[in-house]
Amino acid sequence: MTTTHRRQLPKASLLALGAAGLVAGASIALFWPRPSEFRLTVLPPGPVSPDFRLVDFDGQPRSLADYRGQVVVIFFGYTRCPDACPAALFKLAQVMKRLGPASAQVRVLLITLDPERDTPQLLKSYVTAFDPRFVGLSGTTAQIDHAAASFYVAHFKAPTSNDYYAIDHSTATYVIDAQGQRRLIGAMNTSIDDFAHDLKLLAGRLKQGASP
Amino acid sequence: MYTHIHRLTFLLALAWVIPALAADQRTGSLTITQPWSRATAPGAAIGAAYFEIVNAGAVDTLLRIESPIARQVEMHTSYTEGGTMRMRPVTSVDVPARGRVRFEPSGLHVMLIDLVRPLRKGDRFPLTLVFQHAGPVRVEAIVQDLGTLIPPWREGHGQ
Ligand SMILES: [Cu+2]
Repeated sequence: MTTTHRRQLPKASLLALGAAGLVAGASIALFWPRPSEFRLTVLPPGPVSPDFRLVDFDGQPRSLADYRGQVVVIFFGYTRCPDACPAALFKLAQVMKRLGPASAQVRVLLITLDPERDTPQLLKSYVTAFDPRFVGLSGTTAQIDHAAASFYVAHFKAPTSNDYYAIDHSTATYVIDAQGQRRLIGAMNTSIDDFAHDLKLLAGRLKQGASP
Repeated sequence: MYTHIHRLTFLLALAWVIPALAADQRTGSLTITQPWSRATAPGAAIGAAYFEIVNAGAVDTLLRIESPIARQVEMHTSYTEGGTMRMRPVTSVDVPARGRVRFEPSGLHVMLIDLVRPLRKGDRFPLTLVFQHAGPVRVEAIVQDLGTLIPPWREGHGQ
């Protein structure tokens, strides 16, 4: 009697242990951060979808939906930016070269935060100096504020003298996938290699028939 | 024979180094090292210039910068705060005794506002740094490639 009792106890505890192990395993599988295949920071979809209604440097109205089916890389800046904007665009131009044929699936956009001074002609000569495929977008102050807000981009006018002002702004680079979802965010120190790696991944999926 | 070869290598090395350092300018105890700028897109209104001031003597103050390349020249400083890059004017820059001050991307810079012509890679243009004690010091900035953040001579030396 005592022996059977002794034998049953370990059995029950083994079962309990097994169940606990299963639960633990399942929760680890569910909540353990999976190593990302991407090198840039992966963004979860936010409460606000990225969007814009702007005008390109040729006068064509553009919304983010126009670029569906392409991987879209967006930088917010202005042509009077001393070093952050030229550095970011120069890097993206090198990324496009590194991508080779895959660059056909990638669209790089500069959205100006300075519509007053960045005329369409200036925007065009500026962005195409980095890469002839780059597109510059502008709009009314309200349209640009709306676009920036949907990307959580902060920007402020900051006068440096009576007749000159700078624009303080976020220096992140946003990557939108072919479905128009915010996917990745790059920083000023993100390397050309890392950008090229991630854009190639997103563009590759597109070729495999995921595109509409 | 050995000394001849030695002297020749030295001269060759010197000839190679001189063009890179040609833009260094020494006035009294101040040396302005390798001023540089960045190429601009056609029609671009602004440019930026950078250099290092090495002071072997007593404290001095950089009061302003002049250049015929732009209609307006300001000294600014950039800094990042919470992911936002900000830029503010600087009225003067103290150069500490036996110290140095570096103008560089994402930091202190010369803002060339309303360029009279676009800056092309390889171009040179004058900058005059006006110091409280040393007075005006004229240097030549060499224009580097579009998007340059680290001039070629500092590449590999880290930041
Ligand atoms: Cu500035």
